[in-house]
Amino acid sequence: MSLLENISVAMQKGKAKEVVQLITEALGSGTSAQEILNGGLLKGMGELGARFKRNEVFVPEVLVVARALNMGTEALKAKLLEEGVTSIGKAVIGTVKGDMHDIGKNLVKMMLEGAGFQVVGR
Amino acid sequence: MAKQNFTETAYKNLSDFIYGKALYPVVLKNGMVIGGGTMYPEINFTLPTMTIAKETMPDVIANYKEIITGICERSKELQVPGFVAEIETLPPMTFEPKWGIEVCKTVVDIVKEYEVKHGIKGAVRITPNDIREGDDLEHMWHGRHWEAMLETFEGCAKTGADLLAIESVGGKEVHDEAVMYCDISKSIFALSVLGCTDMNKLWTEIVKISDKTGSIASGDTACGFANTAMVLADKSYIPRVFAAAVRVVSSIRSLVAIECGAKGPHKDCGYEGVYVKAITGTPISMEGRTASCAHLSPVGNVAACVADIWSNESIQNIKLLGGMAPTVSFEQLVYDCRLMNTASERDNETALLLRDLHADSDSRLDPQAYVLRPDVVLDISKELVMVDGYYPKAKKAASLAFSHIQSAHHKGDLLLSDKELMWLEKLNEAVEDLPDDVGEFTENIVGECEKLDPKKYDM
Repeated sequence: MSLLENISVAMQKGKAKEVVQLITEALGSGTSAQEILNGGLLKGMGELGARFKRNEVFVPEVLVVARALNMGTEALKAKLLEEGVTSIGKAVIGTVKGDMHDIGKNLVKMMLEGAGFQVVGR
Repeated sequence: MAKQNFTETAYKNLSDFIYGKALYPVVLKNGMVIGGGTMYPEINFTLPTMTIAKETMPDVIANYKEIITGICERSKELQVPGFVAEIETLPPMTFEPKWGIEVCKTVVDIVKEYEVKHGIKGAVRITPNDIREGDDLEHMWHGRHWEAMLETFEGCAKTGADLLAIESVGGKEVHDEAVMYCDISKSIFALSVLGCTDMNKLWTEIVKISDKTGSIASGDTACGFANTAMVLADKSYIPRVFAAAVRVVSSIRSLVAIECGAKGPHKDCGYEGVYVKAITGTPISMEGRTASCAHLSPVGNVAACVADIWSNESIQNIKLLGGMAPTVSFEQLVYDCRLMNTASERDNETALLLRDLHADSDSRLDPQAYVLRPDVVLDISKELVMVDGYYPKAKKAASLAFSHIQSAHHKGDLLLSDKELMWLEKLNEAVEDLPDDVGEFTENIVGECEKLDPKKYDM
């Protein structure tokens, strides 16, 4: 398997530390940050997303992977900026003040962060 | 008031554990007896989409008048032996206690008017919001949020509310994360350490208000905890076995209200109330199939097995062909109760048959329904009362939930997918790995709770 495939597989298992280690390795071998992001991190996230749609995994498994994606993009941040790659975008989220049923909002916030958005909201 | 400690279950025999009858019924001022043999409907309602502000308060009040008048009229038409109307205030009505109190007074006055003029027996349950969250929350047990909640309780009690209840949220900030990640350790921490500590503080105050005003401190619900898990499980976001275990664990938290002096009926959306009834003998409200106007649940029939009042959860005041939605929903509850009461009047065997049909029709399909079966509830409750301390009880509750689910699946009494079975094993192992000592447990976990501010709990 190529390094990018390894990153994708480690991502799908939610192994954040391994993802970061593989990213360092890939950058060291001359792979661009953009290639790592698209061919490794986002590919892994996309494949897990498809499994979720097929009802094969639950949200906690997706969130663990989203956490690994966050750590991976953090490790790539400096290089991505160097390469001129811009952020996907900014999202603002909120819910009715005082409503205790706010878990849906929290889930969406985590998903957006996992997908690379900068999220403003509690 | 000295705290009650339940070291044995109130119910010993399964055949006594049935709907409509509680060992310690609640007698209301108008003579209605909850848990005294008659099932009563509990109608809950809310506003249509609208702003609640000073300028809109006349419209808000007009809506509540329309709702409760419609219910009282339908009550007359259907010769209802009695009913409970629950007002779950909306957050602005607790942030501004005078608004909540005005709404409560409006409903109480109309209910009392119908009682005097037409002999319709009705009671009002008031459920102020637990508004203790957000960045501006100073502390869980003092400050603006806490004061506003207690002011709403006391004002509503003085205006004639019969029953006081709340959906309290102590520990919810940690539990939300526990639910999202299916982290059973954090769930146990949120419910048994944070939740039980908060329940003790909160319900001691509610009981004081009850003693001062004559309103009855009724009960709480783990809505923000176990129902959140249930809704996510129903959407296939999290495993059902996790939600089922959270339900059983949440009973340890809800029980604290009764330990502090609450008398029941336990709040409708707290499905864990069946455990509270088994242990304390106090009456409970439950919601099931007739609450589908508010949300999906996998426990529509089994929820009725040992209920003492039967609720619709909530419905908006919108127009339907049969009338305004709260009136229509009330009628549905009335017919459910009529059927259950008729079975009880025939003889005990018929009532037990109806109870068991309610249980059997749901419990094979979902572990959340299975853990609400009267036989399972009684078995688990008998073991829970032998354990001392909230955390050890909660740990035991999770463990018992998993073992009952596992055993039912092996016997072919409960259907579980492979994905659920994998999580069942994983979650069970996580509980087995928990330390016995609550101090060690708290020390291990508190640093992992990102949203917890321990100072707000005096930790």
